[in-house]
Amino acid sequence: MAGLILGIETSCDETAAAVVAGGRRLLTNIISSQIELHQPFGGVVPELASRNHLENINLIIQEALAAAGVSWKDLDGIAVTYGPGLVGALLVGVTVAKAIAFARRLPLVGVNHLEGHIYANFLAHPHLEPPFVSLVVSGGHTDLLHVLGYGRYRILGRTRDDAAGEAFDKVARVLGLGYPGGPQIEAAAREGNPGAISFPRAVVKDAPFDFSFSGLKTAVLNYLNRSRQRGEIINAADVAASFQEAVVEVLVERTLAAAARCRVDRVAVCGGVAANSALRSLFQAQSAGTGIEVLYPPPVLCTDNGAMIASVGYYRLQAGHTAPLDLNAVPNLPLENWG
Amino acid sequence: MLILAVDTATTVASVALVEGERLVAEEVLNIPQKTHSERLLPVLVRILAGTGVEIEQVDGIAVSAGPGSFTGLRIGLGTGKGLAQALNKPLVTVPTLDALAYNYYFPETLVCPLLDAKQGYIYTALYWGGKAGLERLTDYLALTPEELTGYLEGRDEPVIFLGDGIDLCGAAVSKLQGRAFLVPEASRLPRASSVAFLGRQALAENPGGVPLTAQPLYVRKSAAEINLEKKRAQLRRG
Ligand SMILES: [Zn+2]
Repeated sequence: MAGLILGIETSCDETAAAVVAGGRRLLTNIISSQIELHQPFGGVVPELASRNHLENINLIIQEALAAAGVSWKDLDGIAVTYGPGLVGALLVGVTVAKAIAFARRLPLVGVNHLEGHIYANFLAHPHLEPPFVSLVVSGGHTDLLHVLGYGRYRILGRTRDDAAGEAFDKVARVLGLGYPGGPQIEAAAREGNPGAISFPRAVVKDAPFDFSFSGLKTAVLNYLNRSRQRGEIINAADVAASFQEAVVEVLVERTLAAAARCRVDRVAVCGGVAANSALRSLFQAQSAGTGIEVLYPPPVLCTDNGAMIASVGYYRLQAGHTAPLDLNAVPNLPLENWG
Repeated sequence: MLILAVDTATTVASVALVEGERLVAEEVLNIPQKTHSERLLPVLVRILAGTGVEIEQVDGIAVSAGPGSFTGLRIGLGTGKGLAQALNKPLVTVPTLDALAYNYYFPETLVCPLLDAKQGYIYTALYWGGKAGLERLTDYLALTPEELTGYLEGRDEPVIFLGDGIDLCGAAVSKLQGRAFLVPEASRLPRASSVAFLGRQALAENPGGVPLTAQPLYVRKSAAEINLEKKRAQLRRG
């Protein structure tokens, strides 16, 4: 079986569809970003996201099938993100996927978005097999997991407050760099000195692999207020570089410690922040000589996409996990073990 | 010609199958405990199973397009779009208030469907029962019940009221005294059969249907857009 899966993703501000063969081979990956739509609001507006998803989703699906040269009858299943995410946004993908699956008599697979990010690495690295440690780092997540097998996970740590990508967005806003914050901070930081300001690296008591970024965000705010009160000129590039360094250092250090603890020699980083070049270079520097190989998907598979959902869908379908036609969106869907 | 219609604009979920002039089957599910996402396709599956019709036999899909609950509208239209795309069949949208008025009207009367739009508003439009059918006299409106009174004053024809917004408009309705007629409970709810019959007409006029990018008739902007516009207007005023 070729295992052709159509993957549909609408959990936040990307309308995406993709066709993947055998869980690993990308045929098409169509992504329509809503960044411009939300930019005037400085963040994602859920109602607008839902409206835009509904306007575009069918054309994105059509484009994914056409570009792959695949028709409905070639497909073996439809996979769709049903959580976690914005409930109204998720519902668009879930609704359309269910209607198509029913009309074409195709098996429907509900997919966890977080799990999707991990599987982006299977698409990028055809020979990658579990076990490995995965860091999922994006605007919605900062999770450290031990991937034991397909559908078998142990959560090692997660953020206690803001996700790393969320911290990037908030700091970009106070620096007046605009939305989305990740690429803006990264660009500004290139011109700055990461050692200019010493921002805190939070440790969570009794949880060596957990993260906390709200204190760092407050420290940046305090620094800016103090400088303004003193009438000092703020060097936004230095603030961005020093903030980014503080985030990246904690992510790299805890991930490599987790890999050592789990005795794995591979780490798969994923999610929107995995595209950050400072994160990548620090991982490379810190892992050198440790025997740990750090893998990332290409940037197009770091952002939300349908291909990663199709990949999970393939493996879930192989394991016999299909969804009923009353499948609902679950905004706080936890990661479950099914393998 | 077989038309499959869905209506999820309010808390009611309804699916109907119409063949020519004949209503073949209809289900109206008026239980608020379950979401449309959970119940719409199962209702649709029951309608098909009960009539022995295969989904491939359907010639067109009609969807109640709003105004109504934003999420409900998206589930209805998303389902319609998915079916239309997967089956390569035309999709048509029918304004929810048109369909509601179609439930119950007579010649030489005004029809005033009222839907609860939440936050103290109702969705409405005013129709005239003309010789050739219903004729819409106003835009699709989001009004407060007080504003509705203004729309009904200055006319002396009988007015037929229906929809889940009746209870919110008690004052406006009672002002009309003997001219107000409240439709019986069973015909007050949105019904997919009305969407199907109007959809059939729409399809006759436009055999290709609407594009897959069709949007619901939201009537109201999102709260974030309204706030941004207010902020910009304030900035302009200085
Ligand atoms: Zn994501």
